[in-house]
Amino acid sequence: MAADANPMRGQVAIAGVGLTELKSFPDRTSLSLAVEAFKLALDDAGLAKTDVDGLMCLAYGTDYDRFLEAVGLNVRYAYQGWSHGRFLAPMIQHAAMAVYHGLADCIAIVHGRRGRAFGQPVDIEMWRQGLGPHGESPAYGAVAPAYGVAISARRYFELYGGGSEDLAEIAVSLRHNASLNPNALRRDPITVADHQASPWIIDPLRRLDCCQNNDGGACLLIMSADRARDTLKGGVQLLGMQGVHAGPEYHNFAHVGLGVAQQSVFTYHPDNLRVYQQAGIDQSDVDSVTVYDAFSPVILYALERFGFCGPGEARDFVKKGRIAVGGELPVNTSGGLLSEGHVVGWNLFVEIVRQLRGECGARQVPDARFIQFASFLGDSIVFGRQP
Amino acid sequence: MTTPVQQDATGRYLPVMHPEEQPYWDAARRHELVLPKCDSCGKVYYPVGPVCPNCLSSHFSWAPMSGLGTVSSFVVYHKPWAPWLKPRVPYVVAQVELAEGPRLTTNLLDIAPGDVRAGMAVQVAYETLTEEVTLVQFRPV
Repeated sequence: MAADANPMRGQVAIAGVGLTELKSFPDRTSLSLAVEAFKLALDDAGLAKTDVDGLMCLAYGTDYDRFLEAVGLNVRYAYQGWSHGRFLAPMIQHAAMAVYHGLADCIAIVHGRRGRAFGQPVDIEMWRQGLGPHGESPAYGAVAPAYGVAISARRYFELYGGGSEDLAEIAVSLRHNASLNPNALRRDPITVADHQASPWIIDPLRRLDCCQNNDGGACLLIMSADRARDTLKGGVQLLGMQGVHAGPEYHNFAHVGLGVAQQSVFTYHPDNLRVYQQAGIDQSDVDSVTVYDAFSPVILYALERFGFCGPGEARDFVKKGRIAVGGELPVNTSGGLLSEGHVVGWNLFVEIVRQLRGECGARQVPDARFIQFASFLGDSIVFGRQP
Repeated sequence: MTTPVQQDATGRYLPVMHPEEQPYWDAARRHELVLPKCDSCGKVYYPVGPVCPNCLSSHFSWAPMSGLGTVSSFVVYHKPWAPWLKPRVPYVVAQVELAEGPRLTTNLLDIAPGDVRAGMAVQVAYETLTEEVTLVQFRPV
């Protein structure tokens, strides 16, 4: 494959990561959690704060200006985005491009989360003209992000068969992964029967299909691969990427072609996946997949979106432990948002880095070389171990 | 930024009626379902917007719909996210695909949540909330 089509391949890396404990911190602020994560990342990389000359944040955590004031840092590249899981990969991509083009040498992506201390973005967005970002329509009681995935999951089951029972093994496998992760919030193993006994939140979603809202802080340090080589643990390289696909055919929390809101109905077959072309690998080379798993069905969509299985096959693909650590294609080895916890999803990228550095102990994917962040909206990054 | 609107007596969320959508809500009060139909390419489109999303023409007419459609997808809320929803759970939110094409997000009236099926035929219904606000809803044919 034409990996040389991507001049950035392997040129940018994540050089350090920080992740606080994930739990409830009633006596702390998002700022203190963000600062703690920042210090953890600096220590992880063996860098000083003055090595950092760029900062990126998402909203509803710590805003960039107060964070920089708090840590006494002036940077030459700052950016703040809007807070949604679909803007995680784009923010890393944006940071990578800024570093690659010399606008910064080291960009810290920082977030401190205090549960719903600032409300949720959707509290505002559900009142937009048209619908909310997940199809919310408050006058009809269509509220909360879970609505978007519940309405799309029903479409998926109508098109391909199956139902709630097909989501059970996703929750079970990710809980298994979390049971091997000392920093995970939900670690007690669960069974398919536990999942099926879990109360409905929005049918066809049960409580165990939904992520949790906890407190925590996370930080990633993005540098050129050359500079990252000199840091304490080396860097984890960005090998290929593709952006968030957006528009009426790309409803949030839905797979392409399901016919949610004004989407067309068709069978999606992946082709021309730029992320693999850029990385010079294909699906069979991927050692582990990471999905923004706010709700279990999106893992089905992501696996089909990137061709790990065919249309409608994901509900069988995820069974028999295939996506658990030790399985053929481990997904969200930390336990993901479903079981590890939720720092707007940044913790998912901390796990990718630790896996590719071989630091994950009982949940380590043996000899992990390539881990792909893959989302149902097409946003993706292939990360690789620094040679 | 849009400000949430709630009914005084119940706390129920009311729709924010954006200026471009006013004819849609006025029609609902008359128990009529109308959507914008492009004068240039003939597309019926929803959500209501400033131009036809197909050809970008800003010339359209408010066309009466047949009021007939099918349930393309539905969910059943068991968790009440707001106080006014507590007495309503379990309640259904459905996407109804109109015979004319667009899908509307609505509730289903006069049917128990357990009896709702994807693909079922429905027809438009109207739920009066206040003097100003009548919601477009659907019920089984």
